[in-house]
Amino acid sequence: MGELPAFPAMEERYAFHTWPDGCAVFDRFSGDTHILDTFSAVLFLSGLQVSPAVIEKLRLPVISDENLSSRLDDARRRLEKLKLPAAPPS
Amino acid sequence: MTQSCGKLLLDAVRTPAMAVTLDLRSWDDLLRLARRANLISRLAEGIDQAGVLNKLPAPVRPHLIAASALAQHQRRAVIWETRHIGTALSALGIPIVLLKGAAYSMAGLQAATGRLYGDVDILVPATRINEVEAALMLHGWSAGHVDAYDNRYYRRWMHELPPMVNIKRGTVVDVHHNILPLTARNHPSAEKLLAASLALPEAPFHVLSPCDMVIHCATHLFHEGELNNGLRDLFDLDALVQEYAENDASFWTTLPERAKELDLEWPLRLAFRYLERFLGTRIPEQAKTSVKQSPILASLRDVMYLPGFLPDHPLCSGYRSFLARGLLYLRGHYLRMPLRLLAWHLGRKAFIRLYKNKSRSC
Amino acid sequence: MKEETAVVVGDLSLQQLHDALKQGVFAVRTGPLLFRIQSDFEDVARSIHALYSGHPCQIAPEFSDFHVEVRAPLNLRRWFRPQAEFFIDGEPPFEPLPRDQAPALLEWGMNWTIAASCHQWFTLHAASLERDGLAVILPAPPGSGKSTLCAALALRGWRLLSDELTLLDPNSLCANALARPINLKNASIDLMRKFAPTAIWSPESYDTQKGRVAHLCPPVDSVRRMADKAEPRWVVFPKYVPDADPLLTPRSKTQTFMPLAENAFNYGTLGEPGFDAIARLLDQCSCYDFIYSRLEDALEVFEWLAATSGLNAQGQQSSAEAQ
Repeated sequence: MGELPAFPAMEERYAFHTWPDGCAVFDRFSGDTHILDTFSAVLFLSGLQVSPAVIEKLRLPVISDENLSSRLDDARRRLEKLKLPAAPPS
Repeated sequence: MTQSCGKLLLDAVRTPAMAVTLDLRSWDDLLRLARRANLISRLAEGIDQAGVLNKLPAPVRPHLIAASALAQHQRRAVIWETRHIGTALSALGIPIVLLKGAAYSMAGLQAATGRLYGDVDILVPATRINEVEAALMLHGWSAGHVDAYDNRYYRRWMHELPPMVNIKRGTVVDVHHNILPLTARNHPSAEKLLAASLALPEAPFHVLSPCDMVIHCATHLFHEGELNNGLRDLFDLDALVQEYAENDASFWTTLPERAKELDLEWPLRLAFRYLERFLGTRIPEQAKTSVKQSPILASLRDVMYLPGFLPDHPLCSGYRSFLARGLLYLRGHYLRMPLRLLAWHLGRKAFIRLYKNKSRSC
Repeated sequence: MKEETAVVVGDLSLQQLHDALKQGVFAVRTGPLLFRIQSDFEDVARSIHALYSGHPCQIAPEFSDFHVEVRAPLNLRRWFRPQAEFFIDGEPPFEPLPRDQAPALLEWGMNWTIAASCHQWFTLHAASLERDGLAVILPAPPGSGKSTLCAALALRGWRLLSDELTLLDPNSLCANALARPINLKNASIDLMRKFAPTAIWSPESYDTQKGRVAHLCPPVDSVRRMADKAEPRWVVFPKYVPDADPLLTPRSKTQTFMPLAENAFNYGTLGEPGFDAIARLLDQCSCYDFIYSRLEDALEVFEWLAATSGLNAQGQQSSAEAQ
């Protein structure tokens, strides 16, 4: 019997494309496409440990610190719902 | 015409390298035949593997590229879909035996090359089928558009649940508890098949053992009411036996023994006959003699099957192939259910067709 | 491939065309595809003669991309309620329609054939038109006024690529032209008849689901130049809103991704190359929503788009990495 199609490693699992206001993600394991807003995109891409230059292209709105943390919590929940990885909370 | 069109298709799929010798007019026929027989992707991927795509006439190439794209997608998609099914059923803790295309793809078998898929078929223990149905429904599958009659018919007589459709993706899973209906003349023991199945590295999936997979493919092929995918299934069989025989020297001895054990010798006999006849598959003498039957019966079958295997395409359709197709439809149903039930079932099908047509008129 | 001969459908008499259709030897070129068509129906012959008069055609070519047929279905109903059925390679992909819709059925069947089989392209359910080598793509659900807008633009300075199917090469993303008849419904038909009194039409037929339908002959120049591809530059989602003033608003590229994927026939089939095609398409296009009620306004706005193409091409930055 031949090889079972391999489970791709995390860093090979996703193709993505970013614009200033978010990013599109293609999951090679499930065939699903996801659209992420800027906050979710930042968390997701940091989780994949992509180069900072990629993340810098996203334009995050300027908001207060307490708003920022609640927005990040929302983004984390969204990623969880989509079963996408996120950078661990710092 | 009939003979030569069949030969063109068979030669090209069997020996893709010969495709470079075909002229445009032959391609015009070949692409249409291959599409109709559901073999165009196998042809395209064969040509790709033989590395001759760029030597073919320019107008032909886009069609083969399109067919390859479709085949690659379907191979990926069936794996994605199978994984979704696995997620839905993993909590039940039972082995999910993949059948047909999903099994070929997940086990990485040669038979998966260029194959186009319809549904994902799975085999589960009969005693757990209600739990499987419930778990699938919980995860977004529902019984598709089946009327009350069909639903009762499936549940009472068939070896499977009515097809279940995923609401989000529109994909279909067929849940079987046996490989043949309860009404069929031979009903093999599903327990034996499950017991011999092999676990894949990706839980909870299993596949049938090599011999059982071949026997199932043959049984399915010759129990089908229609041979629309007859040639494609025959190519599947060819790929399976070749790959297994290469990996296991005792394969040709154990295969007929297993068929006898499962009371499914006759489909294997037919499979051998038509593999040799159509595809020139090399099958050892001793394997053939262990499942032999009388020459008279064999030639009777040929009248039915030979034209039926050719694609149902205007290029191939003669009166004989039309007749053979009608006979096959009846025969497929005869094998699956007792005659009295059959007449009732066919009568109802014909009635529904008429009725539905009428309700569509405006 | 080189165009084999310069013969166009209009060079044949209606009788010659009908005979060739009956014998199943007639083939017509629409952009990159050659369709071989068989039909006994006289109204099908008349419709092809009118709508495709400038399209190159061949008699019994060695190779055609698709072989299609429109004929009466083989059932008893044909004796009391005549119908027409579309076949490709002897197989009917959909239900028969009333007999008088045979010409429209051929058009829909050809569209279906392209959408269902041509995965060598990224196929969008969208209209597309060209100006100065650049293409505008108009994806939109039925009822958005996409076909009406497309027809108006095609008749006033934009070259029609396609009214229903935009075929993009997956690598270069260039849009192919099909230059096929434009399908219009109900009030749009009357609107266009007034807008372009000299245009050529197929006969109208009545469909219970769609209402009145008719096909408008593609402009001569679109047909003559159907081998020329165009580079997508704009993606515009039109929406007809009664009495509205024209309003063109930029769209977020991220938020345009899924609407494009949902309007593609083979996004799922192509898998990652499809994902990649949309991402690159968004990079090279400006995206807009467009609300309008009057065609004159719409034409003016699209003139402005065309005039500012050079300006807009600046600053379309984004990043693409596949990790």
